[in-house]
Amino acid sequence: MRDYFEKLSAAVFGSLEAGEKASLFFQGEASDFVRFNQGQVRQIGSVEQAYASFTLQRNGREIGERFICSEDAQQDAERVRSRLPDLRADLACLPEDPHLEFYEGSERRIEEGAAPETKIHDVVEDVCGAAAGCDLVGFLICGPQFFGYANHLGAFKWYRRASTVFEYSLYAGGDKAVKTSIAGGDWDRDKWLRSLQTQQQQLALMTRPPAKIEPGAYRVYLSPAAVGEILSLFCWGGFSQRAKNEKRASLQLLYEGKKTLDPRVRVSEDVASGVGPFFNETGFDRPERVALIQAGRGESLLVAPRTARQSNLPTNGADDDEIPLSLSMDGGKLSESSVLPTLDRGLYINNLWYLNYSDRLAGRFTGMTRFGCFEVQNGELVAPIPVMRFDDTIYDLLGAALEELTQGCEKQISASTYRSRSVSSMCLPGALIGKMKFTL
Amino acid sequence: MHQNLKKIFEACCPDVEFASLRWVQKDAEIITLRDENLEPLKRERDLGLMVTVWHQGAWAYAATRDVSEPGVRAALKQALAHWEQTAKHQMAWPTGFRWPHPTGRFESKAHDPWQSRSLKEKVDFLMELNESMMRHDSIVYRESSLWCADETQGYLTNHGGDVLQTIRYVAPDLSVTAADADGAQTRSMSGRALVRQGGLELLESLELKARAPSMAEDAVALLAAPNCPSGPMEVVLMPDQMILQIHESIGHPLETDRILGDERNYAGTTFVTPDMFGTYQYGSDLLNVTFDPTLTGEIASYNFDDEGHAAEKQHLIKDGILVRPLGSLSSMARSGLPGVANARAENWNRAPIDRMANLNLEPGSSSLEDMIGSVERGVLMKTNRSWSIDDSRNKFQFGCEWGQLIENGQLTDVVKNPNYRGVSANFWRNLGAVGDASTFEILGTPYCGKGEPNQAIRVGHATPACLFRDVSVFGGAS
Repeated sequence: MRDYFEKLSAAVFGSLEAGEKASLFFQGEASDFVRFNQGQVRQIGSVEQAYASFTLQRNGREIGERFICSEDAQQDAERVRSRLPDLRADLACLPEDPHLEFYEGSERRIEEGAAPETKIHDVVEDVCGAAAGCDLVGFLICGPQFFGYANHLGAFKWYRRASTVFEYSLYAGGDKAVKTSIAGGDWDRDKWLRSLQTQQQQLALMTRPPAKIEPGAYRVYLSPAAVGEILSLFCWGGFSQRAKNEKRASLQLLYEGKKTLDPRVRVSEDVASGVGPFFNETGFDRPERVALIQAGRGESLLVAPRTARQSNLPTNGADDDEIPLSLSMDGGKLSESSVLPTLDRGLYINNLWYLNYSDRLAGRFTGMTRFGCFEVQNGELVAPIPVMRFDDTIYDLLGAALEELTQGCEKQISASTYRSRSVSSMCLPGALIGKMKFTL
Repeated sequence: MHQNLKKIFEACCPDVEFASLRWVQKDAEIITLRDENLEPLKRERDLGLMVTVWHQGAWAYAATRDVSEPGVRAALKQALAHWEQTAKHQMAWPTGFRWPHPTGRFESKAHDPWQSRSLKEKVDFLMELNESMMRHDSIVYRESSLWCADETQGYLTNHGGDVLQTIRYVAPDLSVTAADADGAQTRSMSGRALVRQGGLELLESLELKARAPSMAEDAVALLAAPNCPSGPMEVVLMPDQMILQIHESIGHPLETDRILGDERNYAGTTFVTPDMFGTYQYGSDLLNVTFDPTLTGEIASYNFDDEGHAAEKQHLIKDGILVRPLGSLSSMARSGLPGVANARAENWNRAPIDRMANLNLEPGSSSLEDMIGSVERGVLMKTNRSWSIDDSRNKFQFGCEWGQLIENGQLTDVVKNPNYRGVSANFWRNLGAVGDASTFEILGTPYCGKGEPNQAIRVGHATPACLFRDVSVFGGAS
């Protein structure tokens, strides 16, 4: 696809008039998708898609058109050029935009990971072979993704990555299940077999009679995946400069200095360790690291170029939605092997599910337990727990109630595929929490 | 496009029991105004196709942006390769299953097409809305937006199936935030809940010019309001909260692919089991829920689903008894349960799965005044702002933007941050009254998420206001 985008960007900017600025953003993928149910293939298919967004600025106004790319770059460039008169006419009747930004760089930078070598049908053989007889439900994603940016000044940026992500659950009847994910550039059969063995061992615990848990406050261990669910919710408007400006940020009180988290909480946008492109959709480079929370206090927010102009702040290369792409949280002192002995009595929460705000500005939120959650007694997993609803605040859970974070952090690569495959990731520790409130 | 692809498909269709080609073309424009400033105008054109092959009980697909003959050939070759390599590992389909080969057309009615007004007129319209929301010094943010789309989908099969459907819709949005030193409150349309099939005539019929200043005044009133009280009480839910209640605790639990376990790795399972149909008391006998693709203007009206199944109105819950799930032709065959025409795909690049379409709660006989008048102590809630439910679709917690106390049959004080929680299986049995046609509204959402790969799809919900007894209510953090 790089060849296509090279040709498209070389051909599309030649018809600009004096004073006009224009750019292209490209996003494509060639993906194989397989759904599994009961250890068998439920759906298998491939999707090959590529979109380009052409943006034109003129006289302090901007218009953008996203289009599906054909196989013919010259034909697509001609189509864009033929649209220019209409776009200029439309811009002429729009009000001036005081918050316009444009990437004025002209450099060329290309990052391409190794070409994918995974053969999807081989993976299906591996999964169905090893999972025969298991009630495995899962989703396999495989193939390359492509991102590009170019502008009329000559800037050309290109990013390619290939990945194989297999997110799967094992069921022991009803809603008794465990879930995990394995991800990498190419399929690793040995890693899959080790993962399956570990999950089968945990699933055996799920077959025990469930513990009866009454609503109330419990001491809990939240796995990195569970911590990830909580931070994913707060990525939704929590770290956004624009949301703060609009008084809608879920971490509004943290960034206004009215609330704090535990001083051990340090969170950053860590693009250097992520899997996303080094540039955003308007061509601005993302810094390798942006400290978002330092010593439990709001340090920085994500600032898209447009918000930067509006707020008179420098941009830090965020996308327009100002959602972290590669969120990272520093670990603490708790070794993984001492999690259960230190918890001693309480609940071991492997996954949380369907989080949403109960009171957004107060940082109060609710959600459910799901997949592999257990009662712990005397430092041992003793019984699965039924799904429980919690309702608590971020300022309590990662504030006064935070006892310790695990030393190691676990990298989680998103399997989200709304419209296109996500390139977001998280690197997070587990958390020992002194009191988490369950309501239903 | 349709005739050209039909010729191509006929020319290169493989010799299999069943093959289909579904193409989709979308044109959309979004105009958004934040305070006084126009956001960069966004337009989108999409075009692509998906082919499927089904043979000897196994199935595969391939989707491509290349709509030329070589593109179709390559996609079919890819789908056949998937079929050949994985047929032995695929879940068994019931013997004798046959896909339909339908013919027909559908087109949304749009009296005033999007292009009938200039871009400047549309921007000026939004500017007027935003200006009308500047009602008080405490207003800190105003947003208005128009999203319009034309989507045409063709469906062809290897034995003469030929369906062409065009959906035109408008999804307006308004949002306003008031803030002071103690907090902020937002009133909105709950994520474009006014989405409808039609054209720009909707801008008037949906009364956006009247809604905008009223919402601003609501936000200011909420800012000064106390938190919603806590405790068991009666609740009157207005239609823009009812749609969420129906969606999450009736719609999703009744999807047959959940019953079959397909969604257990992501969206979840359901508390509903096959043996419940025909006998299970889902709600009080006032509860009547229909799958209705025939309601003109509702966002998910159509004549055929994306597997060519002809759509018709069906009761899912009748007089409180569960009678039918939301299962497509293939899900009906796999489950042995009845179903509806609900195999739907977000776009050309996603395969159809069991979805809601228009899922409606039929009007009852109570006026809003009667419902409020019957409440000794309760809260009226409107406009969803938060939703969370377990993976079996049972334990839920929902929050609204607006609350108003009901005391001794009268609406009294405004309260902020109203929330309630419950269990689906009990909640609907406490349905105490169903509003009449005067309370009935046609609403929906463009953002129902589900499936692997993920798909966000448009869903319609038409509903009256309803009264529920003995609900656990609570407010926000003080």
